[in-house]
Amino acid sequence: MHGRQENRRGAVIHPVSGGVVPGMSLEISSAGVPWHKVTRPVPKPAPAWKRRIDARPMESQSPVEPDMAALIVEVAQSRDIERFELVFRHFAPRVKAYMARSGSAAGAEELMQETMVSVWNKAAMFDPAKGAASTWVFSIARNLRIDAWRREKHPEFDENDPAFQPAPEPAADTRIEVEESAKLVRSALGTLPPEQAEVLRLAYFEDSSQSDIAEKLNLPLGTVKSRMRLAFGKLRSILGESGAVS
Amino acid sequence: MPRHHIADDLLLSYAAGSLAEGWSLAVATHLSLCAQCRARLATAEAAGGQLLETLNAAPSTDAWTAVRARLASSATPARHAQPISATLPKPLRDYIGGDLDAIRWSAIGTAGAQARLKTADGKTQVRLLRIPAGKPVPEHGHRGRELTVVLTGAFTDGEQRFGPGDVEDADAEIEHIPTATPEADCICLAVTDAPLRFRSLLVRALQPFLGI
Repeated sequence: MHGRQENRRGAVIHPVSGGVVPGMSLEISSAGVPWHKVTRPVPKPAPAWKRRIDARPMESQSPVEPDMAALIVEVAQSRDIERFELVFRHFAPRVKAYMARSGSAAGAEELMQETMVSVWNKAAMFDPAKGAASTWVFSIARNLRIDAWRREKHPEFDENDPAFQPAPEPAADTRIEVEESAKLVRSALGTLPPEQAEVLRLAYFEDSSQSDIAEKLNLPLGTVKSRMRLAFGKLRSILGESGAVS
Repeated sequence: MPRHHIADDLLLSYAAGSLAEGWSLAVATHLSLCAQCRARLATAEAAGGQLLETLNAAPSTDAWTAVRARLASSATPARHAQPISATLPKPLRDYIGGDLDAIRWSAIGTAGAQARLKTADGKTQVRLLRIPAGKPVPEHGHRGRELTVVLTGAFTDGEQRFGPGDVEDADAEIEHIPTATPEADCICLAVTDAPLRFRSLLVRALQPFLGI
């Protein structure tokens, strides 16, 4: 019963600028299409007749995106600005859109540039065994956003801290590879029920706290928490992790 | 290894970047001590990365030129020097300005001490609490959530025992009496989203003066 209204209230009108932000349509729930499928820049395969006429070698037909993780590792060593441009071309539009979701367009451009400079500066800290390139860039963008919009810090653990407690044993052999698990997370996100996807979208993109979300969607705080727990549970179960912690 | 962990909704909000600084400090403190929750965090941050991949907005036409110009002149961040040993995890030391011995305690009532930590969020109250060995924290209820992370020693609350790194996550409905175990004082980090409301009449009368 709430569905339609929640969705309407959830996005479209940008909370800061008051205007409609490009690319900010409600891709999660209004169209009934999994959100990750809508804006992903995956070209639709050409119709069969066109493919026959337009037969070209594989590479030029679907240009393969360079491997971002490998590229960042390479750039960390070579400090090659030309190679870094490829990283920039991939992430700049994504980071800019991310920043625009929670603030002004002008601010988003500046924060995007700051993020990309930071990616360049911190490239040597990227460890492809720990997470995907997009995960690492996300965390840099997120921290800059918190600092810029809320003037808060995002306290984080430090592996070089003498008080840090390392894992008792290295990750088991059954550990799913980073790239593989990123794919699994992506597909799990696509199968979340709309009401869970919407809560995630507000939390990740619109800088909404749990009580902000409760207010925006006119839901009890407990419902927001339980939707988050359900969504997170699904992500973890798809990676074969242990049950929910509460 | 801690046995009481960060709840899913908190960890997800922390990864999303929408959790206020005070709560985030408690989460980061636990994460420093808990490999299991770091693995869960990795999943929540991977979701952030995958969500980022779904977005798209054209940068300004001269964005690359502008960024390129900044790359040449920017410096790689220096690694901060770490002390040789520490009791408290780094996220917390950053707020205290040092380790255990740098905490500036002030007495609360006759039982124990507290030290406030300052965050920028304006939504949380962040304090270190020292509960004397074998003594309870004054019985209290609270509006909203209370997150307590044990740093040294241990306390029991009802049937449960909380040791170093353990998190007690209590909501408004719970009336609880954390009691330090008899062997040693218990020092913990306590984050609340509303001023505590002590039940003992005397302490409640003093509340405005004690600032708790």
